Amino acid sequence: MKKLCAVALAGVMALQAAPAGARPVSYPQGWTLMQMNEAEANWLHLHYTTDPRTSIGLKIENQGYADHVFVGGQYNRLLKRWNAPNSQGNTYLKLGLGVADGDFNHALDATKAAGFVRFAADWETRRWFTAANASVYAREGKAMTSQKARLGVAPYVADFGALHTWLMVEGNWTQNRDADQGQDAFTVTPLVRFFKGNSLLEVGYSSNDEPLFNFVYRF
Amino acid sequence: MKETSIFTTFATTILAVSAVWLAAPALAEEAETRLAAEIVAAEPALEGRVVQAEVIGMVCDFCAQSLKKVLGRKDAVSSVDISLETKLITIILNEGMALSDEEIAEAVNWAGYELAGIVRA
Repeated sequence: MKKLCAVALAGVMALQAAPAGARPVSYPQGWTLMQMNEAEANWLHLHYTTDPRTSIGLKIENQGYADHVFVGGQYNRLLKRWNAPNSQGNTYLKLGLGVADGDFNHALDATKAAGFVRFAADWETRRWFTAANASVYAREGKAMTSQKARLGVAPYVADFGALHTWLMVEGNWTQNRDADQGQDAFTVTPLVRFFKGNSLLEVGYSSNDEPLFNFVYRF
Repeated sequence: MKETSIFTTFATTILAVSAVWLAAPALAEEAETRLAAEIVAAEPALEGRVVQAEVIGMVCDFCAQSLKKVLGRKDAVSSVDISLETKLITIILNEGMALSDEEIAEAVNWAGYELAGIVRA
């Protein structure tokens, strides 16, 4: 029953649209450094925006399994943006290609080709924020899928240059996390986002007892 | 889910919510937007150098930073001020220089947003 509720919650949240701040495409000729320590993964992404719809960069990602690290390039494409007087919506495609050490759940010495395809969507106003992300991550012979959704509200609406604060909750559902044991993983993470100027900081704590610490800086 | 982790998550959320609500009044800032004509009235030396553009889709600081960076690269632009409250960008031009409506629209689009209108003074 708990699992059913968790799946239902993830489904409902995924129907909401996704976050600003962590957008994979910045302004042309802008760099973005994204460092994420989340419930199910830790990653570092440095990207350069070439035009209003495209960014390319480097990605180092640890999926939360012992010594399983992906290193490679990432291509981000803004598929569609909806600009409205009081809101903005976006859909993104993210493609990664590189190499990874270790299996999903066993540390192995072999280095093999790995990659991912991710689709993300977000919609936000100055008060509300929703985001969803679906991912397929593969390493030779094995694949893992995951979905993530986030809902946020700003307790006060700040203007440009002031400190923006958001209260958010993120649901993360990963399938085939441990292929040998057939376990899936679902986590819920309440978090607080602080956003000022070119910097964004998120702090939270997940239901699997993992702290969340995310930092994004644009330059 | 373990009881301890539920408690930790719940306690973290309560603490975070309390901290933000207590700090909110001090952190919030009133939007301060002046029409181009008011700016010129206050500083006559800026006559002909103030342009205000209304932008659609600008909802966060990263949006505003994008517009500020892209417009700020223009040789004619001296400074850029932005209000998320009114969706207005105030551009101060360098003395003796000009920036056409088309150039502004192009820059706004290049930053990823849409231009709704322009006011000059």
